[in-house]
Amino acid sequence: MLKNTLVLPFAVSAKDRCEVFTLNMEVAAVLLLAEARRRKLGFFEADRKTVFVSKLHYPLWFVPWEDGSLVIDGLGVFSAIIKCPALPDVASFIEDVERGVSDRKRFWASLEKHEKTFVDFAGSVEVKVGALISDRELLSAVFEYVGEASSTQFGENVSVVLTPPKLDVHGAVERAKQVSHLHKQVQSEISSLEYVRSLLNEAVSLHEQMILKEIEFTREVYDGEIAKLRPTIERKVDQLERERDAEIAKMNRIVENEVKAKERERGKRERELQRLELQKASFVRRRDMCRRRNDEVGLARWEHRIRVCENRIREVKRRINDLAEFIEEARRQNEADIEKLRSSYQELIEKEKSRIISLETQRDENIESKQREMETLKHATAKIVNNIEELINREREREKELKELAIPWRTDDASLVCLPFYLVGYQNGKETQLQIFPPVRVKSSKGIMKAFKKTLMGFTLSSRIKLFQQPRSKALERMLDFALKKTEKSDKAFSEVLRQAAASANILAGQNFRETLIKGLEELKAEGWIGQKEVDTLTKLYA
Amino acid sequence: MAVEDKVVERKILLKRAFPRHQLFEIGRKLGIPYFERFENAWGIDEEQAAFEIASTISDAKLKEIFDTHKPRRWVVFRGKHYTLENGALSLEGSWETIKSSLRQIEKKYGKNGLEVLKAFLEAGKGCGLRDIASNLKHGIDPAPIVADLEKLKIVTVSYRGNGYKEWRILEEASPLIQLELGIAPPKRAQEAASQKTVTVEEGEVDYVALERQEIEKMENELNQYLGDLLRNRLDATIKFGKTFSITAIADYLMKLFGPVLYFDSLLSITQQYSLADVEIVHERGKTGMRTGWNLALFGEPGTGKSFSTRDMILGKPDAKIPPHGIPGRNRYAGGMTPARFIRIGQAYVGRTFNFIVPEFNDWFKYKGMVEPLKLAMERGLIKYELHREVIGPYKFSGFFSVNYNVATYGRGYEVTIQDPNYVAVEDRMLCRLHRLTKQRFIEIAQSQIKLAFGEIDIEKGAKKIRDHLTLVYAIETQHPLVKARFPQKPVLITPKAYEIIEKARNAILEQIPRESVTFSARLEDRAMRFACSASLLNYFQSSFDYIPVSEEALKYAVQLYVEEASVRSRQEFTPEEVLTKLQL
Repeated sequence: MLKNTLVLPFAVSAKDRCEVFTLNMEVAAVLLLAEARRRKLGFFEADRKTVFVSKLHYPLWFVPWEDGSLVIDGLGVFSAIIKCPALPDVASFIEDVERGVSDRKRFWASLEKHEKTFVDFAGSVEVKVGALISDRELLSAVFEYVGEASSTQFGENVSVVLTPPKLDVHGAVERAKQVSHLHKQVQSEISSLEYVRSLLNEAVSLHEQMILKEIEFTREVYDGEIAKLRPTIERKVDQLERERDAEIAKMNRIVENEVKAKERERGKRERELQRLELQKASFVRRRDMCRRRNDEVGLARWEHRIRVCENRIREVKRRINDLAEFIEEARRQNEADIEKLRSSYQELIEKEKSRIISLETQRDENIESKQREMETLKHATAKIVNNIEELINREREREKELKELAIPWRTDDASLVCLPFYLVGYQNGKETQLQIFPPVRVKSSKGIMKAFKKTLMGFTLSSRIKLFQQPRSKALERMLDFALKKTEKSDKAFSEVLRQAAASANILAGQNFRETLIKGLEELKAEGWIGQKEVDTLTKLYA
Repeated sequence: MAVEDKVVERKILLKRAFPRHQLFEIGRKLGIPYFERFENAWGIDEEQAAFEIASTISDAKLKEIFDTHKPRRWVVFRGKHYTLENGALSLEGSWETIKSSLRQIEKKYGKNGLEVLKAFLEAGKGCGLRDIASNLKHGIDPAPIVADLEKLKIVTVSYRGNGYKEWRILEEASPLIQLELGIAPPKRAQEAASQKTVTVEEGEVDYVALERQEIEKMENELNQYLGDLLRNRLDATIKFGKTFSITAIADYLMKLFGPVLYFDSLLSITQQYSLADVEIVHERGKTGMRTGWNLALFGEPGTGKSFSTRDMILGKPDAKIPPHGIPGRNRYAGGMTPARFIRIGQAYVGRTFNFIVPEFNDWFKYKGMVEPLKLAMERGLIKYELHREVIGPYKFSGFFSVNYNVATYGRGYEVTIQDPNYVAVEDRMLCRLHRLTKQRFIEIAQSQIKLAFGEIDIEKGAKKIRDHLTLVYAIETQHPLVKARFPQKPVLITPKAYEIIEKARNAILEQIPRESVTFSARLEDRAMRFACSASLLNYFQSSFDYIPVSEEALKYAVQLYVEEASVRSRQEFTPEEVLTKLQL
């Protein structure tokens, strides 16, 4: 027997049970169940009887891994299929990003090239880990079982009959190593993904810094050019403005000279008009005097003079009017000419100024384009980083799943855990039919007696016993049934060895069997499991 | 030296030519223990990995590695011993080609070409045309020079953006260009100097050339020590550094030498940390200060000055005292004349070494030497004119750790300050003045007995301290072996530091009844530098990109300040009074 061997008890008392469940009781209970089973199968004939009732142990290896243990099937019947996704081409990505660190165009190219690299894994393979028990329900049942039996210590020189294991400790450790290897691989993959993520983040932050530097550089270059150009432009604008103003002044001067002459004449004419108006009034007065004196000659003369004067007044007024119109026209024309001149100069000034504005616009566009590039770069990188993070999460999930393959029960070295069960052989002609009784949990008799006080003895024997002791887990039951029966059928050598083991552990052939059985039956009867009739029947049959 | 050179080059080459997973593969294949510590390539330190491989393999193996593993075709390497271009490794260096290219540049562009290269060297990283232009005289266009430098493979493009380019000098070519530009002691210049240097007082021996050999030995000593540390004791040293502090070192020394004697050794070891000459900053920017300082221990013979400055730093195997100082960075100048010092100082241009002078007072006795010595203590430009030759001008950038013997006859300060050179020294050094008091005498006597009977075992402690000191020094001086692995951190003076010093100042002034004070305000500056240097011990404890001045360091700085103020004030107050008041 291996140094680290843990033999689990077949029957574990439930928490509510205070009474001791003796080995005699265990044997008697199993025999009662075996007998009930035999009857159920219809084996009433004398040649169809129970040939052996053997307490055997199923070998499970506990191989320490991480904070727990992997459970390896000693018969190698079970196996686990682990899906392993293949990582995208990280090496090529690293190479492209590292190369792109010093060249932005190349960095862009690598971002485009790897846009979809981390969208998903590059496929997957299924790795079969032989003998590894991965069924969650079964692992949980085993862990619970080991936990409940924790008072039972590991030890050596434990004498039990094992179902012949097909896997020794080295084989079990080898299988566990496969899981450890897969785990390391997952960790390595996570590290590689984390590395490429940080590499990418570093690269993009470097490019961001460089773009900011470029923006600064661009601003300085343009500002330098603008600063260099501005004095020239200002000088030119100033010159144009001065030219314009001089021309306007010249035009105003010419027009004003002309206008002034005309205004002088107008003044003269106005004064003349005034004089003529006075003259006319004087002539009118004199004519009127002549009319009162009936001086016909004088009347005619003053009439004539008045007409001459009026004619002259009309002429002068016309002239004054012409002069006013001329002055007005000259001024209007001058204003229009000045406006035209101004606009032509303004055009020239604007043209000069537009050289700076054009540079400013170019600078702003350039800077904006770089800022846009920075945003796009961040966006493109964030997309890849998100994909990488998604893969990291999936890998972490895988890692968690792998860790869940271990039960949280840690031993220092690989240990053999012997899981007990009873194997009963019924002879049916030449054939021997096998029945497995999995480990049980024994309940408190008092509680059951209280609940089924009157009706208990009305139950069939099998149902009654099952009330007191229940198989501890369906998963364990399924495992034993599947593993033993399948192997027994498919592997003749195993079948032979199993039967030999069963024969060697047959309690029916044991020296103290009779005493054990009688004691066991009496104890069961005392707890109210069975009646005297059943004691007698079984005693008659076996003792 | 050549061997170490090769290792450094190989390390840079390997790191550049192979991605980390390939380095891991190579390391594993070679069975190097460092790689066994890692499950996969992603946990390794690329710098360390490259170094581990580089220090294990020969040239033939290197060639084999490059033949087996495909190196990156897009990287170039132009070293002294190796060249890598278009994915092909040559075991011949590129320095000769670069040298001739440099001549071409010098010929074509003269001083401007060299100025451009200097600007690249000073930047130490990629530079754009704008960066270069800002370092040049107005009106010089660096574009054609840089284009030629690129064409001649002296610089390479380090960044190509959108209408923007940066260049840099390759790390492996940088030493050559430094040599050629005379920034570090050039070999050619060395040869030239050996022809030119004519000694007056000391015959025809070329002391500068001899000293260069000495420097080479010392460089080698540092490189070997550091290499060994990185290979075998790096993790342990970092772990040690996480808990190490000025208090820890003070406790260590106090246990060894007692509560009076320990302080001199504490000053000596702290001065070793200061040699990294780290920049001191405050929260809003630079202070213009650096950590480096000179140390002068004044006192009567037999007060333990030489023990602290020489034996503790360089070690004294006969007395079972292992060295605590930086390997290869302390030049013992015992028995050296000041004239020779001024002469060999030329070999130290651009290098920061510590000169240990056991009888500094003797140096001042030489006629005409006071001025150059003052300049040396100020780290200024030294020029010494003799009737047959002129030494310098050259910039001395080393530090001093000196003993100055004065017979105080129990009167302490008065006698010392009457020494005409004292002011010159006090202005430029952190001075510690002490008499042979009874307490000091007892501690010296006890230490001697303990050492004689082997009761003091400082071997283990000294090794740890030396490893830590060397690593911090290498990091802060950006030694190529650690440059890429640890960041250089400045020391940050916090407002609290000023507050504490101010508090100390007020407490001292309160104790002085007169209106005038008899000590210089430089004491405060020295105390602050001491605190900053002592804070370097906390390098591995700071998670920031700077090292804040530690309160522990300030405590010792204040102690130093108060004690020295007391001595200089003719003990008008006792340091204990002030320190108690300050609750330190």
